[in-house]
Amino acid sequence: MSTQDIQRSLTDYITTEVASAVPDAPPAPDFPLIEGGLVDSLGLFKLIAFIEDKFQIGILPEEIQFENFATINAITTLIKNKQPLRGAAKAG
Amino acid sequence: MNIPAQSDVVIIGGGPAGSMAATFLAQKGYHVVLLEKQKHPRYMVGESLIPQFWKYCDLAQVTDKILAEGFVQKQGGTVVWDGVIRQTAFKDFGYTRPALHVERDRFDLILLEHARSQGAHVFEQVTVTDVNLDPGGQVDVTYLPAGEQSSRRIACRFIIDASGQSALIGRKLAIRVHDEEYPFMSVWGYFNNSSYVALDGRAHAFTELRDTPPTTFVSSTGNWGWCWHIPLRETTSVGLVVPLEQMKTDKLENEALQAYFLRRCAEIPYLNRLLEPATYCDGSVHMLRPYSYRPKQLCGPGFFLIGDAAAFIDPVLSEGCLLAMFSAHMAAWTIDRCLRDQGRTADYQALFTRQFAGRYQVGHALMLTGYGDAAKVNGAVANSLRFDSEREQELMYVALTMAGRAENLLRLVKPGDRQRIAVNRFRTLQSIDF
Ligand SMILES: Cc1cc2nc3c(=O)[nH]c(=O)nc-3n(C[C@H](O)[C@H](O)[C@H](O)COP(=O)(O)OP(=O)(O)OC[C@H]3O[C@@H](n4cnc5c(N)ncnc54)[C@H](O)[C@@H]3O)c2cc1C
Repeated sequence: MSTQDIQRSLTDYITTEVASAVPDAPPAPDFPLIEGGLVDSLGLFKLIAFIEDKFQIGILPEEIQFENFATINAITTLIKNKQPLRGAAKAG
Repeated sequence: MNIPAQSDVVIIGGGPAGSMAATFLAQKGYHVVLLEKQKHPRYMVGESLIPQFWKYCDLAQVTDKILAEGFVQKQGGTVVWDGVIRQTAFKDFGYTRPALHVERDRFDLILLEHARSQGAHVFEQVTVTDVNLDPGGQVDVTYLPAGEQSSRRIACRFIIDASGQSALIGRKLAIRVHDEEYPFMSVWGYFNNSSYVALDGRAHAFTELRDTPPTTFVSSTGNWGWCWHIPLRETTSVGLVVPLEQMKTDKLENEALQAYFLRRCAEIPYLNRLLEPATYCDGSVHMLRPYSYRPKQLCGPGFFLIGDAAAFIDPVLSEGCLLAMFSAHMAAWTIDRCLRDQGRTADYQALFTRQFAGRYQVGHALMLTGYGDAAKVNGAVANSLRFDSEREQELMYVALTMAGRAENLLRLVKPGDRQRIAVNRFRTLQSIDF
């Protein structure tokens, strides 16, 4: 998946499923998701489940750091740096 | 009583932790059995809820039922700490929804009934007597319905221990550690017709409660002890948190508990004035000790600990029910992930541990007084604080400032964030007007 595709699906999901109030405009790739109040500790886990299922990767406990989820850019980097889980290479 | 012999998840205990976990799992489509020893409505202490709890209620879709009950809505807090009177209002943090003072028998009943309505199989007056945690395969739970002679079992994929201070699994596995750093105990009781403090800084008669919302009143009582005053719909909950050492010198005998409680209440400035018109509800005194504990382990093969069954810290920040709901949500999320991909169970359990331990260790470090050292908390723990919204961090800072422990929070956050959250959204009062 291209960087743009990843960013687009993250933006869609965060806007429609994670944000507690639907934002006026979709967040820019460098918008501070947590500080800006779009992703809280509840939304974070919804988002992690989505990312794992959609991109067939496993997020490790120690990767749940503020820096990795601060912006859509940061999450995209996290996703791109990971190998697909075993048996999932053909998914999607 | 038709209790199934098999289930995806068995939950021990129907307090806020157990009921919320049952709701979250039932909503995800799992077969859940919840066993509760008592019959709701049942008495429980812990009546002051801070606004953050609504987000769990929204997720569980129980918000309307709680609003419909008409609990007392509080507007903020009035804290007298070492002689300084401070007041803060939730609306100054941008909270548009009220915090509540709840009769826990009613509140917990609503959450339990809601779990039932969402498809959880809830059985009351059923006591869990043992668990079998064979690491090899399925786990099971042994229970005894009230009035029956022989116990039965349920096999399941996961057990959630939400048994509160009974801490069934924690005791069985001897993984509960009493908190030497926090040697306190608590004594509390109920009064009719107590005055209360509103946001105008004045004392009001109990009869005005419906028209003029109250604040939660808290006062220090020396040596890090403190007291609470929580007006409910019919009565007012009043409690003392007392250093154990002081208790030893007071040489409290059981039969004198009520007299001790009333004498101390009459000695505490402002609290005694609030209680002047009040009458004590006979026989309503309760006591809890030892007080604070935490686990060496939060989950293991086939089980999770949540709410007070995992850890209990001083309630000065009113975080108990919030932590119960947080850990219930976390356990339901983790079990869902584990059941979807069993190969990653170890990862997910590690994640649960990290998140939940981070939460209560933050709570614990914030609580510490002259007795402990918040600096011992490691960076991974402080990390969990950073996922809180700015508003939540600010509220925590103010609550801690008012209770004389703001420096604990400042030690945990990154230097750059200190200035941002250290906004003092409170006002200092010269006196409370009676
Ligand atoms: C003095 C004091 C003041 C507090 N003040 C506040 C406050 O102001 N605000 C706040 O948010 N929190 C407060 N708390 C904390 C709050 O009460 C708890 O954190 C909260 O009740 C935890 O919920 P829970 O579901 O984990 O446990 P509980 O509410 O204790 O529920 C556990 C349930 O498990 C059942 N059970 C136990 N053993 C078994 C068994 N073997 N089989 C089946 N069922 C079983 C019990 O009957 C009970 O219903 C206070 C606590 C104390 C002690």
